[in-house]
Amino acid sequence: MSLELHVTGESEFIDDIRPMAGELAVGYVGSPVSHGELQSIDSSEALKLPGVVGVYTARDLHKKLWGTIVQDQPVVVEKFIGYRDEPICIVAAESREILERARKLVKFKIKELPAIRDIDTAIAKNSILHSPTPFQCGDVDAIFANKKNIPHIHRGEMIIGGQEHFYLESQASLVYPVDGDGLKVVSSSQHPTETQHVVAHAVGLPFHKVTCEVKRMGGAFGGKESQAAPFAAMAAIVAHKTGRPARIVLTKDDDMCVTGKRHPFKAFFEVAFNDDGKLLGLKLKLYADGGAYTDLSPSILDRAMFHADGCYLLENARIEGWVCKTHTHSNTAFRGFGGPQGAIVIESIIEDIARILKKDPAGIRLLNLYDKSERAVTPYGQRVTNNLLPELFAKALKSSDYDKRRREIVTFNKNARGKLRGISITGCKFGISFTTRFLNQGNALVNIHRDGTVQVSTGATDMGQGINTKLAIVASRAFGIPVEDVNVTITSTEKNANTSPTAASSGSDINGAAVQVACDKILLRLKQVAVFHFSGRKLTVKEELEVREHDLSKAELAELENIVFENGVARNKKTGATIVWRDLLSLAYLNRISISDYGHMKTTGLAFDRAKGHGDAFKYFTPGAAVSEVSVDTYSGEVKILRTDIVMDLGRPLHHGVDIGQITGGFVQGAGWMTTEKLFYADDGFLVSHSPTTYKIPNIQDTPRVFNVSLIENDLNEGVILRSKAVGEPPLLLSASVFMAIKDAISYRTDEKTVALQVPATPEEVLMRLRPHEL
Amino acid sequence: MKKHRDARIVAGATDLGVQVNKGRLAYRRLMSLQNIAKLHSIGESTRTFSVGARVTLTQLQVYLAKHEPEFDRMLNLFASPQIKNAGTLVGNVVNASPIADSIPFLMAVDAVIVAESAAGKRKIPIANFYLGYKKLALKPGEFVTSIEIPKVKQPSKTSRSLTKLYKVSVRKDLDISAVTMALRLDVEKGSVKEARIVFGGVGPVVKRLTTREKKWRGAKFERSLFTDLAKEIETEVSPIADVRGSREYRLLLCRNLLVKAADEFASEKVMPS
Repeated sequence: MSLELHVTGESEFIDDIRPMAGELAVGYVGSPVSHGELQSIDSSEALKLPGVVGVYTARDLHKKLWGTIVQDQPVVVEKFIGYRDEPICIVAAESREILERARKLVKFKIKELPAIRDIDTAIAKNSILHSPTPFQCGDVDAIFANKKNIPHIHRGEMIIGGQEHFYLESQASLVYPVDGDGLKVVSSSQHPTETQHVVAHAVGLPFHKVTCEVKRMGGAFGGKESQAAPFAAMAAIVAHKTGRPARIVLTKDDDMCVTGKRHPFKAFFEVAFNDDGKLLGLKLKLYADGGAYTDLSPSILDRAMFHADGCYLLENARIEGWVCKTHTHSNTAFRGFGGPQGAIVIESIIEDIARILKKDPAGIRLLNLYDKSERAVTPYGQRVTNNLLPELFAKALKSSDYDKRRREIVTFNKNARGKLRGISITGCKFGISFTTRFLNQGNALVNIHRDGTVQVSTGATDMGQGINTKLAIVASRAFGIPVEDVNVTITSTEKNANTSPTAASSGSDINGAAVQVACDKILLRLKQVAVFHFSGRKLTVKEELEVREHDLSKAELAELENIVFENGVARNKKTGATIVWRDLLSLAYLNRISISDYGHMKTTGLAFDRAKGHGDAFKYFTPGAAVSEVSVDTYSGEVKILRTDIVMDLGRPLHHGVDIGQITGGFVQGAGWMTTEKLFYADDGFLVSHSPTTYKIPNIQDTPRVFNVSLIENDLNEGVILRSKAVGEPPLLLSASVFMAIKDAISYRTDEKTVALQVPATPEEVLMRLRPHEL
Repeated sequence: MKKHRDARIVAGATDLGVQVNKGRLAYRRLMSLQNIAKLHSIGESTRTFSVGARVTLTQLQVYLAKHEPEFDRMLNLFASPQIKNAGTLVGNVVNASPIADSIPFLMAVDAVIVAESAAGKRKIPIANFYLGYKKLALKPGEFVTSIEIPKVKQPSKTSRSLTKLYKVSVRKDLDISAVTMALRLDVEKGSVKEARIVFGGVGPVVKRLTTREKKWRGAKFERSLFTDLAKEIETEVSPIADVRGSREYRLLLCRNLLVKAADEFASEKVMPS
């Protein structure tokens, strides 16, 4: 639905909204140090500059701290600086040019303090923000205690780097006063409700005085789930103090320096396995670099732990996790939300096991893959049901011609000089639901108009993932009308309040289901109108057509079942009688029957006990498998993806094209994280790679040269909107196949027993692990 | 130029445009070369190509593809079509980044910079053009109007001219290089007659190994030339560590690119293996 506007460049983003009369440009001034105590702010020079309207500090904020889980993060520093480039004060000016000049004129007096810059230091200093109850299954201590019975033990650690979201539209908000002290916030946010709340807290208004609207985002990827809010609050402070419209639009460079990224992780593992490669026991410790504040880190660590099993049965395991506090930007949600960091460790371990046993890693994976038996239970006690992993792996191996290509690679690597090839299959089994139970609810407003067209709104925000298309499909199928007759309107807290973020791949599950609920409520009434119409009964002046929403008898309900909506008419299946959609609406309206409704849904069946680390955390899983082949240049370490074959189970897709787009996009985004996207910090904590000049996301040449994507379509996913499956994050995990293929390629030219490759596998990381060319 | 000494000359603006967008440069005066017709063309004499200051990289790539296939191949990695349609060879040269991808090639082929001012025209061999980091051998009021690229000598039964251009970056395509290497060797009857060995990304300016080139002249064209230099690479270049790679990685790259050149010459059967 967004296609034409995006392609022609006509889609309006925050920075494209025409300037309002009297509008101010808003920015912040960031900290020059990573850790310190703020002693004073000198804004006198900035305030002397003509056109500077004000400099605002923590003292101007009603509530100074925000945070989704723990409110520990200042909008602007009050006393202690937590990270380099952290906003210290807010500047408002008549123009962006003046704003940029003014930002350079604000001076700080800071007492610098020693900074913790990495996970190792945080562990050593016990700088921990959070540690949940470990997941345990079987008896892992007994397994490792009885060393005689374990043929093999492999220990190691894995460093997993962070990732910048690199959304094309930076953090941006426009805030303007409405009716006295009210505020309208137009934001590039995945979470309008939280943005509304953070703004209200910051300026000291009740929630009903603040409206937050989101039309669309130019990409988000999790980076605008929590972290859109503080920038909206900065603009809100200015609008509130001056009574003038205020807009903040970060430059790419500033955005990259100030916002959080995908969490870097460090994993320590100890795995026991037999001669066949069967996993006997796993002890895993996961440390996440949370950065300076809590943000969403506890939930992200949870998800890493939930995905530490990958697709493989662990009968004896202990999975522990910690969020470290460091003096870097506060790391945040990013497509996969910790899941990829957890899953890549077990995939890497399996690659190592294959090397130790001199077997093909694909065979080890198949041996340990969750099967369809009752033994298919995760370390946190959730049974893997409707499990298509065996079929997905089989199809991926077969359609990619894995065995034949493996043989060709062995031969190629024996003879080739200068190039090595590697191949690997990896899988995903992504848990769908917010692991915070209360977030698994949604609401929708559906308004039918008398010309037969429909407006739908929910809490879902469109960030380019195509949610509006999917919501329109749900309503169009419900009413049997063309999808063009459904308009998904701007997301606004005025229409849909108390919404959850568009995150956790749940956008269509939650909001699509809420739309369905609202549509069903309207349909229940319209069917009664249709039954009345088909009956041919005439009403007297004193009579009125009544419809009921409750207490319908079985017979009445059965009669209503006969009414179907398709091709623009309501039809009685039994008699074949029809009434045109628009005529039916008129009939309802003229009889004072509502053709609008509001729907609310909640996900059922969630029963995870956090205190025990046990239970059903997810409604279902989205699984998939991918085979990737890479070519590695042994002179330079440069990597190219030659071919990727992906097979996924997305149930019955709501929109095939949108889902294939999510798979290819998610995979390539993950492949960038696996290879070229390296966050490079100077010794003082400054992010050197803070622009496209130095931070390298994949471009078109980095997509697999041959890229095959297919689905195993099915109707197994009962209880989810139109038996579809969530798709946003799962395919990103499949990019592990690229990393494992690189590991595989290196294994042909190394003297080490296993390849301790780290993420990202940049050319340097790869080259340093290859046996050098002889001179 | 005479009147406006402070003016900054603009050709494709692929770098200046970014600097202006980022608010790093606020030029009071910009002088575009757009309307000087002759700067848009590539001239050709019997011995040289003359590339005008407004000739885009796309124009150049198409024109030189047959004559300099290695340069053509390298330009495919260099930048996207959009950038090459705007960016110019002269712009890349005068912007003087130590990792500018065209400079090693131009040094390897002994290109000549043509500078003009109100006082007249002057030719500067590219080897003498870079005085230090972003410091050019241009006089006030002078600007580069063209670059002359000597044509490759036609191979005979006993002699041939060999070129290798390598560019290594974090992302293979459309990325700023960590290290670049350019080799131009004139080989006659199995011996090196003339050698140019150039590395980029290993110091504040693109580095030509002139002493080593002298050693190579007259030497037998064989693998040991490359491996000997590779073994002693630390005496020739001294790269720094930065966002694009550590010092160790860059040294290893220089070493490996020499091995790669030797391997390729051997597999192309122009050098004994």
